[in-house]
Amino acid sequence: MSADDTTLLSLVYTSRAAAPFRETALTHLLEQARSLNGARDITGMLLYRGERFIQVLEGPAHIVRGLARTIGQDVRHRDMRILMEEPIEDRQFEDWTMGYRSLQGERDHAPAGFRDSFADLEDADERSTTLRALAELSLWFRVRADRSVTV
Amino acid sequence: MNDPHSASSDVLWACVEEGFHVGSRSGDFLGYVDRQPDGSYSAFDARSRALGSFSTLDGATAAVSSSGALASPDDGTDEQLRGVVQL
Repeated sequence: MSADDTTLLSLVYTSRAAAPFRETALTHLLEQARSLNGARDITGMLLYRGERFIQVLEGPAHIVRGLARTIGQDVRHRDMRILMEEPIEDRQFEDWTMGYRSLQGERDHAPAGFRDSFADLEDADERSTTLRALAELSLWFRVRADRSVTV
Repeated sequence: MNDPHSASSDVLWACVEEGFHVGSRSGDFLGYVDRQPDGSYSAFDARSRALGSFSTLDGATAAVSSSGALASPDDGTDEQLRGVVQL
């Protein structure tokens, strides 16, 4: 067994929906992802706003990287860009084979004086900004998940 | 602290979704504000402890900014926030 087989990896990417996703198409996509992820020890979070995806994938490094390559070739996505990829000791989303949340509002919805977490994560040039924005989105996801049943 | 805003000038505020705001200072998570269905704003510190309900967003963010409840990985912070405080 190689180190790549045992190392836990967190990979965050952004992509654009090739065509507007209807709720039924998203539901189908999530059903597929959760089924496959459960079998491959993948956990994570998928966020969707204004035809943009941000997804966090966690799991064995070689599986996560392979999955990212597959997503990059998926015709339902375009302009895929990996925002962060790093080894982790513990999963942040161990309870979700693929937690999903759709964010309300569009870019520039933030009040004056407030950063836009989703846009910051997509646009960040600095690691500190990527980490901050990801932490903000993760917190929001968990707070919202605590109020409802999310898988 | 008499003037909650005196401690807030160095706080970075982000809006995740309309009504949900997260504050941090120099990379340390301070807390968040969540607008409730009745239009009020609930403020929470870095350990998700309620700081109160406020009629305005300014009031709620000031409460978080002045809470002084800086989280660190060693202080027993809620598991829920682990990803935030390890920045």
